[in-house]
Amino acid sequence: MTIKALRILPPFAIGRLGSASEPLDNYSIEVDEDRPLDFRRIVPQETLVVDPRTGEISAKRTAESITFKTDGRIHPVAPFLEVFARVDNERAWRPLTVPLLAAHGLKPSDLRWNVTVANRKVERRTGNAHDRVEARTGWFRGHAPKRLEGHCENFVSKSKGIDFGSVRYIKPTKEFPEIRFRFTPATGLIYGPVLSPAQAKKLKKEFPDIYEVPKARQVYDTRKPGAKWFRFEVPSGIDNPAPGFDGPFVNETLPPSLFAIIPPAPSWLNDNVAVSRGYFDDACDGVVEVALVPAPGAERLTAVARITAGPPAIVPDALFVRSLGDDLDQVIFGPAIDGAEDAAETRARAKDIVRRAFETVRFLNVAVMNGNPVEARDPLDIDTMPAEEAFDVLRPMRPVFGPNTVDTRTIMRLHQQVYAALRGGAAPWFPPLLRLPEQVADFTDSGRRKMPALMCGADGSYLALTHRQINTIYKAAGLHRDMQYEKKKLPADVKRPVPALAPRNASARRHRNDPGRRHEEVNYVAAGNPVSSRPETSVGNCTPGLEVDFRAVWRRLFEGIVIREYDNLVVEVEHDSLKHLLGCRLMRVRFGEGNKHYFYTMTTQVGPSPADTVNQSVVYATDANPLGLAPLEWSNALARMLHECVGGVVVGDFSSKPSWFAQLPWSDAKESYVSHELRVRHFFEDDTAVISRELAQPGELTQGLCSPWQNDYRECSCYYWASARPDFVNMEPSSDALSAGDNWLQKRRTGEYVPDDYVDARMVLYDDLFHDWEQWVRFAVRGRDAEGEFAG
Amino acid sequence: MRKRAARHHEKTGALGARKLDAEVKAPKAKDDGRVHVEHPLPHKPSELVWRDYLILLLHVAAELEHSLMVEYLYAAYSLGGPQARKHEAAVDRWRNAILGVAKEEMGHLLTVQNLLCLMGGPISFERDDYPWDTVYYPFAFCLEPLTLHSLAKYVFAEMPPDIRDDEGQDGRTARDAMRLLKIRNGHPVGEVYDLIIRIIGDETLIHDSDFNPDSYGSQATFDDWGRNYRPGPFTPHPAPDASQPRDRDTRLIIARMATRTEALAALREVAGQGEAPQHRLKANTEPSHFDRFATIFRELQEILKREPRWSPSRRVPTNPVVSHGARIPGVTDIEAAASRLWANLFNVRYRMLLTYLTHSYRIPSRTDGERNGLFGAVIGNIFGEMYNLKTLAGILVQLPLKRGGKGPERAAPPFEMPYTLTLPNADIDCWKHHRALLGASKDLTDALLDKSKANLKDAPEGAREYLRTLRQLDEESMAMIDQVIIGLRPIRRKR
Repeated sequence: MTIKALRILPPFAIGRLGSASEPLDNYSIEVDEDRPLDFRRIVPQETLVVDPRTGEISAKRTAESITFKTDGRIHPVAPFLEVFARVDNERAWRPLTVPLLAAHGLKPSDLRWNVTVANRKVERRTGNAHDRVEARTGWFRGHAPKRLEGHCENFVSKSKGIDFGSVRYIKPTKEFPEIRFRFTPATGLIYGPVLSPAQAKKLKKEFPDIYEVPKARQVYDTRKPGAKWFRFEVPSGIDNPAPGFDGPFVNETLPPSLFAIIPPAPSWLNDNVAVSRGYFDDACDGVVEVALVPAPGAERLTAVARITAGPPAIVPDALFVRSLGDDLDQVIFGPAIDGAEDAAETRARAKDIVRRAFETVRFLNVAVMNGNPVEARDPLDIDTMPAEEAFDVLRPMRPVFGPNTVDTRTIMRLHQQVYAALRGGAAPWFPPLLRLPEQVADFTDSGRRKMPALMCGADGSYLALTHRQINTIYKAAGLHRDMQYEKKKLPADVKRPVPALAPRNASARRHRNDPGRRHEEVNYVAAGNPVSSRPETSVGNCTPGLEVDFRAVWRRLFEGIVIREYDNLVVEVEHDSLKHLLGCRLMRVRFGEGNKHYFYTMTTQVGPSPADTVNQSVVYATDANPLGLAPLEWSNALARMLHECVGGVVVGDFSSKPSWFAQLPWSDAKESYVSHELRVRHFFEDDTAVISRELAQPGELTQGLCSPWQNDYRECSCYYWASARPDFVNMEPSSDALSAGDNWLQKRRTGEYVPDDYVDARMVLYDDLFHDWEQWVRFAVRGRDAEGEFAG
Repeated sequence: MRKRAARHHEKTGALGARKLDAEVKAPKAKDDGRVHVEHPLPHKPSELVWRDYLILLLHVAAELEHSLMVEYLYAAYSLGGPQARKHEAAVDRWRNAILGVAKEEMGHLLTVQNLLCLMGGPISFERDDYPWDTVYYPFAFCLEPLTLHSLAKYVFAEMPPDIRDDEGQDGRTARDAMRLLKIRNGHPVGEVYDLIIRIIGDETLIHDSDFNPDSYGSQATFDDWGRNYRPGPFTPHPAPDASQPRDRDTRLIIARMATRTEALAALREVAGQGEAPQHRLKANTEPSHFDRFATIFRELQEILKREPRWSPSRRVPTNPVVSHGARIPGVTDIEAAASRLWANLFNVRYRMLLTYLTHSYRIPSRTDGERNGLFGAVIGNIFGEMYNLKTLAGILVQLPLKRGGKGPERAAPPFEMPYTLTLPNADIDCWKHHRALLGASKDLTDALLDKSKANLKDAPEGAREYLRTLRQLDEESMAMIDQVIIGLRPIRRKR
């Protein structure tokens, strides 16, 4: 009997920040079958209590109820990782335990661990590798907690760093003999630059309420050459550089300038000036490795898992309509639904999508998000997707739906009626109302009213579900959606400069087509882990997200080039032979037999013609975007190609010339593009469900997120509030059948929604969050502020 | 047609079908842009002035649209069952096509209500129970499963007048349908639209002062009601060989109107899509209701040639009822006790739908500067009830028809009309009425869920889940209505 392989499950675990000394108790969420429209029930589950002194699990207990915050401190989510082993040629994975080790003449101390996490948010903006903050434990085997001390070249010294939390190899006992590991994230602190007394005084004088980073957390040395984060400013301007701009290129994020800026903020209300305060946060992502030599002289076995740290799940009893789980499902199973799939299974998934849709609507003030005037104020001043659209396309703002029929309760109820009908066996009748991924930049009324509405997707346009979610609903409706990409005769003159990747090992090939197992692993429920540690509780593929920026995984999908996470710009090349592609645009990808399938990486923004809003559309062009081109999010655009060609070769058609700043239109003219064969990297490592390190290195899954993340709560224009950050809480019906309640971000609870214009002092503002985010990030349970939350 | 309205036609004979055949022609626009009638109008009933007569005809049109819609829904819901799996794809396609037509009939119904608003007439969602006869339809309206015979009726009802002389496949289909129905002559439903268009187009009959353009704001809009069921706009720069997304796409028409010209345009649009395709614009490539039914007719014909015993429908009855009392000729009692409860529930929800529809025209959709959620709530409830009817119909067609659950016959949605759709005068009483209907629904839901009665024994999977969800929705609706009632209560001043 020999241990042949190791595995860590879950392969991806979300830690959540908080400063309470005790991690959050374990819980699950369940739909109450007697009250199916209620919030999901939060059901306490067995919590594993770790003795801080010994590192052993000293007890297990099930709380009577879950307390998310105690004395103003949020309980962090500290997920466990469990190790499994494959023995001999068994197909199943067995939990690796002390007895199993002993049976092989091994003991727990034979296992080694290694953790690397990083925060690359600042590096992502400045482009300076010396701004990367990284913590490495090196290989270790003891059971004492290992601090994750993040160091950075541009910090003042090697002793100064960011505390990313800790990891611990849990000491197995007789009662708990399993091999497990724990990640405890940081407390949610902000770090910043070392300011000279004069700099600090000047800032304080100008902005008396500005947050001052405590001395102990002033770590960034502004005097070092190249250390430009404090007062960093994008030279080409925010959003888009003026036409004809020929200054230096800075790889902006989407949304742009995702960082805390020196007041006044937000930048777009203040001449688009965004000057960085130089803040860092203590969020991170990375990998945990375990290693074991199973027998003297045997090959060392290793396994890996990913961890990430993000803000708390503020609405623990609701799930968002498109989660990270949905995006991972699409990678695992592909965008289409197997025609032979059991109808009951398809229906169950369709019901789940609709359920999550009404859970999402529940936390949106739909009337406000629709672009209705609020208290006779100009809706353009309020933070909504139609306002965002108006700014982007430089057109007058229009509400999305008829203003008189949109109200949170009414629209939520309509979704609940749909849910009731599906539960009763009715086939979905609404597939034509779903927004297709290629329709996200259709700003006609017809396009904007598709579902899901009023929210933003990863490409900055209106949110679409994943192809797989859409196809689930089509199949449940008895319809077939043609997933064929366009076909036409295409040229075959393809250059082949890309060196071939070594073929994957036999094991990978053998297991590549076992999506069910991979799905199980991604969704594995480790003992003691609350549901908020799993991908289903993470907002999927938004702009950019809170737990991870899933867009980052696509950057290195094609071997040899690195594309930007949100559009088709080649920002790096990995081989000299591809140097000429730097700054070019990946315009089209061809794949399949004879490369007969293809897709474009962008679409055209269209809106209603002023002359005939119903029947005619026009291109929404602006000076900065004269052809009205809009990039499409990678997760959906690549889905079919990834499913069919992973590990294989496709053809990329790139613009023949660099275009660092502007999107380019596709042209069939041969001189306008160059073609290269590109090998498609594997998404998962070998036969595991671990997102490949070739796609994203430690820190890269979070590098597109806001720095610090607290800033994101204030200004991120994504309208995905319903899950990670609610918009509308304490909602009650009123006598005029309108929903009354509070804006989650308003300081005092009055029952009168304060529309968010970014500057209203009734709202929680930037420095409030920097000072005391744990007070202002208020949990909502059953739609209302949780017990003990500040109400004003 | 309801008896009180019918007497005007019966006594005058003004709308005798055969007479109309010869008389009705579409009005033509002359160079001055005005509409002139070239042919004499049929006699107006002597008790009515032209405006009044027009309103009567619009009520007839509303009733026809309503009836056709329900007939089509019934036919679509009847499709399925184990035997239908043999041609599942075709059956799914037919169901979607027929439901699409029914949805468009709903748009027509709303457009007719809008026209009633414009003419200052009362809106009407009334109709007679099935079976009923009218001079506009050569056979009795009835709820029946989809067969080649029933399909022939729909083909006939929606066909253009001259199509029977057409040498192409549409003409052949029309003739086949009429042969099957044993009709040599007659007039499709669209002729009422011809008549309305003629009357409304004649300025000597309907004066400009007869119109109420102020009603525009209270008319149903596509934005509020359309739910995006129409093709998107043409793309800005289509490739030369690219087909436009609007081509051949069906759409929901809900037209608002403030003038005679707009009224005529709306009528032609509605009639052109449905029962009088001769009114459609040539540029319109959207398949008419006739096109869609004719296609299904031909496809079913083809299958039946090979398999004459095959049926696309379940064994559902003709004109099912749960009414107590004397038997009415032509109807089928739903006998099985649990099925009756489901049918009762269906009738209550149908009544709720019609009551909300009626109420929606009373609540102003726009109040100057001030938002009010009542209109949105009523609209939302209307859509909710449509979903409920769909679900309940889907359950009913799987339940037994006969007492004791014996036999292969299945029950079906009865669509029985309530004793009245007239709303109380006071708003507060309208909401109390809605609440009372929810109460009736709750009693039925509780009875069905009562474990001691085993009423769900024969119910399909999901029925219990649905009832629980519906019960919760209704409880929340009642709580909301309670709030509204509190808000509408008059404030009593102390003396």
